[in-house]
Amino acid sequence: MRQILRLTMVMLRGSGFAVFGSDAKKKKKLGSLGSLLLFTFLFLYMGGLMAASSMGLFRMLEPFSLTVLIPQLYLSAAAVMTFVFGAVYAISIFYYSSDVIRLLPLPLRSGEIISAKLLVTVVYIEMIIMAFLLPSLTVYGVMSNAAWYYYLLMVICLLLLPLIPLCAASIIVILLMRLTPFARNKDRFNTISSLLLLVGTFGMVSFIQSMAGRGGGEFAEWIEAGTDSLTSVTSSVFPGVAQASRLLAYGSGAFNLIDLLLLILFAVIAWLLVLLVGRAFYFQGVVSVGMSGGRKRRLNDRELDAAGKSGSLFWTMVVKDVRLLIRTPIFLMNNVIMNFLWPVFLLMPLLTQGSFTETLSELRKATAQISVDSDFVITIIMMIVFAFSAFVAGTNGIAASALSREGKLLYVMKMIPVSYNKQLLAKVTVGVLMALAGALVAIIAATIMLQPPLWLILLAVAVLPGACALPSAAGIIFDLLWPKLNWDNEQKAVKQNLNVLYGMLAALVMIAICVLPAYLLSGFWPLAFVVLVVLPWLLSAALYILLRSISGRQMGAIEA
Amino acid sequence: MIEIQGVSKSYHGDVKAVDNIDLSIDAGRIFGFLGPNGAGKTTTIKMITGILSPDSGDIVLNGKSIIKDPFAAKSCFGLVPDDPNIFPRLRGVEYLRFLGDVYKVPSDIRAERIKKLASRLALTDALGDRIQSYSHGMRQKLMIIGALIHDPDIWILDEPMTGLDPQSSYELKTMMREHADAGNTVFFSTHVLEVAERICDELAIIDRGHIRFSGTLAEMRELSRADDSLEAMFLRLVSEGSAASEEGQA
Repeated sequence: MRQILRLTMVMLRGSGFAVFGSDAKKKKKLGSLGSLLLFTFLFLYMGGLMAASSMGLFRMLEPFSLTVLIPQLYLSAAAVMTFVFGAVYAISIFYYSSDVIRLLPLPLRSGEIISAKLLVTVVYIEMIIMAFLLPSLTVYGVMSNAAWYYYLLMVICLLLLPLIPLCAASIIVILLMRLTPFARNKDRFNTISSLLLLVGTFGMVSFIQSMAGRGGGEFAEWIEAGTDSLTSVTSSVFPGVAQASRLLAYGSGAFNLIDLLLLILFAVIAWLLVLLVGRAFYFQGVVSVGMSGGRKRRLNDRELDAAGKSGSLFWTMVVKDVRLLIRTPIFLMNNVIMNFLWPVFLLMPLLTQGSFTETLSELRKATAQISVDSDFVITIIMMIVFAFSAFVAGTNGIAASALSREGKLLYVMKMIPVSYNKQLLAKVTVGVLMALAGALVAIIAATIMLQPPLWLILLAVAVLPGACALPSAAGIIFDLLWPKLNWDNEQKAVKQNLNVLYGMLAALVMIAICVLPAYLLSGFWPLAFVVLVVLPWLLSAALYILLRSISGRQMGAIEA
Repeated sequence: MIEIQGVSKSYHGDVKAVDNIDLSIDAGRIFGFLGPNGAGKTTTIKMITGILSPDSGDIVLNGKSIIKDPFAAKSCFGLVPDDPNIFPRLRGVEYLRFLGDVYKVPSDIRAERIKKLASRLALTDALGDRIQSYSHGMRQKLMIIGALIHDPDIWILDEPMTGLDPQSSYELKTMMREHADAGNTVFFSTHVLEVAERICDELAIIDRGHIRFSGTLAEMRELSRADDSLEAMFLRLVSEGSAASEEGQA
């Protein structure tokens, strides 16, 4: 057991938990403290939200004597959530953490490695579950005047219940990774799992929004039916949910000792099953992950000749960066997909409203009334298009992390006989093109939904290039000044890169600088339009001159 | 031809990685650059290729200064880096196309050159795959093809044999010989002294940022007054250098 705990600690430290360790170097202490504070803040923020939602739910269900549904609802939802997140974490921790290959030659028992891996997964899952359920169930206990042992049972349930869906997810993952070559592609897995998590988050937000839109009686009926069906499904799939729900439902009444014993038994059986399946399939599967070779498809002469065709140097550099962006899952999710998600984020409140079709037809009527004389309305529309496109370009972080994403390979930029200005301009172009694509998709969606006149669409499209170019030009200057090149994980190049944040802030400033004069000229829309088209290009040109003047010195100073 | 003139480089202002070195490598020669770990080999190669700027001195490649005329100088050489993990998510053929465009290699020549080099290094079958699926040796081969795609006069190879199978290693040594015999320059660093002994026309030993020796193997034997192996002479030179440095510090 001691060996398992020691191994678990080593794995946790290796996977980023070192932040909380005591052996962090003095130099890193500030950063560690910052991470700890940020983590605590997020935990408290999430906990506060969940406590508030539980309080609201209790008050809504109290008049209908349905408050006993609350633990049932939360525990069933937690079981489903644990299963989904657990599957993703299990693949990542069991198969894609770099420690596996180092552990295999050590004199450790297979059960010890599997148990330690499972414990690491449990720690991650418990952090999520605790943030969601601890505040909600505590609030439920307080509001229902629960006895002291309710809180003890609550802790036991929170520790044991997630184990069952987590073990189920781990078993499926172990079998899947052993039997299907598809799941062994790390990049593909990362992309698909990130997309699934994104869809799941959207689903949850829509669910909460649609829940908030219902009235008291209708809501109570709906939640009773929903909870019943959710519990019946989760109870049959994950043993223990029904027992845990019963243990917590009647906080002040007597609890059934058999329910508690059954819950413990189910958790132990689940753990043993993981060990059993793991011993049979895990090690063969994990070894084959590192051995996924190429297809070894021999290129024919025509393909080789095509590869030999020379192209424009500038576009070659652009295409290379686009390929790397799209093929690297972290970059794809953070820098590329985000360009296309903003319209969905903005439309979400509208789409989840029950009266969506009525709102849409009202908006269509209003759009149909726009004429060339509607100076103020046209200016506002142009301003919205400009602000949205510049926001997309500023938040995609492509230009603001362009050099950081190169990491240790930045030396290639310094070695090749191509001017730094040309290389940097190619990187800005990538950011502009991606933002343009996102903004164009939004305009196409708006066109389909609102059916505006053609001339208005053309005006909007004319505003896009400048709006996308300006934040990208600003973003790359930050990355040139403070590139984050020393990373061991691509995530750090984009997610833990302050330049991306600076780029966003700069985009907001740029939006204000361009939109304000346009607003002041809203009495005559052609003038406002010219300002929104020309001003960003003038500012971009100024930023480009600045970029040219510092590029040689800055690139020379980078010791890659 | 490579001329390194009074070049020094410090990191963080105090650690002197390379200290006032002078080297002259003539065309038509294979030049081996040897030294223990952390001696300054890679720093020197990074300065020759323009990746690092020297604190003082100049480096001239075929008459073009890497400091004053970097574009012309960078076009003269092809570099095989010590770490072949470059752009793992590109396909081999995409990486070569990128370099072909960077060095402006005409289409008709490029396709032929890729075919020829890939065939010599037995990489043709893998060019359609992503680099991340390559083994270390295959990546090394791709780096070699990429470095030679524009047929540079000067080859700069940092530990080029690492990870290569015996067949490819032999092929590379043959190619180095052919290139030097055609009147070009081959500059390479290695830890494998047997390889250096067998193929180098000249060599230099760098230790703690100082050049301990530069010349032919025969000159080295003459200097050490013994008919020793390169390994024995290398170890003696490095230990003498260490002792001298420690004495100087004391």
